[in-house]
Amino acid sequence: MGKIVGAFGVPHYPRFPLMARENTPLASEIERLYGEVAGHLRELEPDVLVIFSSDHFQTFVADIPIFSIGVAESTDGPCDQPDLPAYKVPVDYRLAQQMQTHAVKTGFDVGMHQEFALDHTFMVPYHFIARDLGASIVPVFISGLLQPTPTAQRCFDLGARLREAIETTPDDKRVAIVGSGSFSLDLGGIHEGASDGPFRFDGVTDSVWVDRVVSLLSEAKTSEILEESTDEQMGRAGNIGGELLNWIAMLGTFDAREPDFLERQGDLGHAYGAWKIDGR
Amino acid sequence: MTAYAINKVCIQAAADANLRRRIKIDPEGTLQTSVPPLSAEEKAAFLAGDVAELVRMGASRYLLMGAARSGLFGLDIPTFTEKLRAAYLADPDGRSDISPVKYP
Repeated sequence: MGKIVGAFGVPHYPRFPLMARENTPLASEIERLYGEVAGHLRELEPDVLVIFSSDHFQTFVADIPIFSIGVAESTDGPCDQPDLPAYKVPVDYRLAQQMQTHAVKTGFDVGMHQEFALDHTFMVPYHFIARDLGASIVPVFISGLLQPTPTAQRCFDLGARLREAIETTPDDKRVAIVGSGSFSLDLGGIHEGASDGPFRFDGVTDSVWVDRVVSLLSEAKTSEILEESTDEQMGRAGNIGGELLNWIAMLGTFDAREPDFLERQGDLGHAYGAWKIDGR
Repeated sequence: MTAYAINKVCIQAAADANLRRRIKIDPEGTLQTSVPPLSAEEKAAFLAGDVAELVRMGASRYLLMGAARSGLFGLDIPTFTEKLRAAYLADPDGRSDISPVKYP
C-alpha cells in the first residue's frame, strides 16, 4: 500500500539556485530555509515526490489543461532557465498512471501529459530539496496563472482524490507531497526593476495576505484558507498569486494538522513549510 | 486579434535564441511571419515597444517581461517598468485594464 509520509511547501523563485551560491546574507537564508525543509523530507525517506506546480507557459503553450499529470518514465529540466543546474529525473510511471486513472474513474477529469520537460517551478524545488534523495517524482500540473483558474476547493479536492489513489496503490511506496509557489508576487508589473527589493524587484502586492495565509497554515485552519482564497483575493496578490493553489492541493492530501516547520521568508511573498506525517 | 498571438511571440522568443536574433535584426519582417498572424495594431505595438498597449490587448505581463529581459523591441527591464508605470499613473483605477491588479 502507498503511504503519504509528509507534505511540504516551498517557493520556486528561478534565480534562487544561483543566488544561493553567492556570499550574501540572502544566500545563507535561502540555504537555511530550503535546508530545513530538505532535512525533514530526508528523514521520511520517500520513494516518490508528488509535486504540484503551475507551469509558466513552458510545458504547455497552446493547450493549457486545468489539471494534468505527467505520466512518463522520465523527464528533465529546467527547460526555461538554461543557466540553472539541470537534472534528468525519473518519473514513477506506474504511480502516475494509477493516480490519473483513479482520478478520472472517480469523476475527476485530469489530463495526462506523456512527453515533456519541466520548467523551474518544478525543478527549483527539486534542486534544493530532492536532488540527492534518489526518489522519483510525479508532476501534477495546476493551471494557476491563466484565467480561468480552478477554484481553491477544486484544487483541495484534487489533492484529496490523489491521496485516495496513493493510499490504494498495491505497491509499497512512501510518498511525499510538495506544493510549489508563492502566495503574493506580481511579475512584469509596475514594481519590476524597483531598487528597493532584495531581487531588484519587489512584486509582493499583498503582504497582509501572505501573513494571513501563513497564520492560517500555522493553525491548521484549512477551511478558512479555502474560503478566503477567492479569485479576487489571489488576483490582488499579483499575477503569480494563483500559485497558492499548489499549496492548497498539497493540503488536500492529508488531514488538517499544524506544520512541523513553517516560516515566511522576510518580506517576500512566500513561505517554507513541512508537515511530517509518518516519520521513521 | 487574440492575446494568444501576442503571447506566443514572447513564449517562442524566450525558448529560441535564433528567433530572438531575427527579431533584433528585422523585427517587422520577423513579426510578419508569426503564426497565428498578428493584427496591424499588434505589430505596431510590438515594434513601438508599447507594452502598455499590448497589455491592454490582453498580453501577459509576465511573458512581456521576458521579452524585455531579452532586449527585444527596444525594451529592457527599466524601460519596460517605466512604460507600465506611466500607463498606470495615467490610469490608476485600471479602467483601461493596464492594471488588473490594484497596486498598493
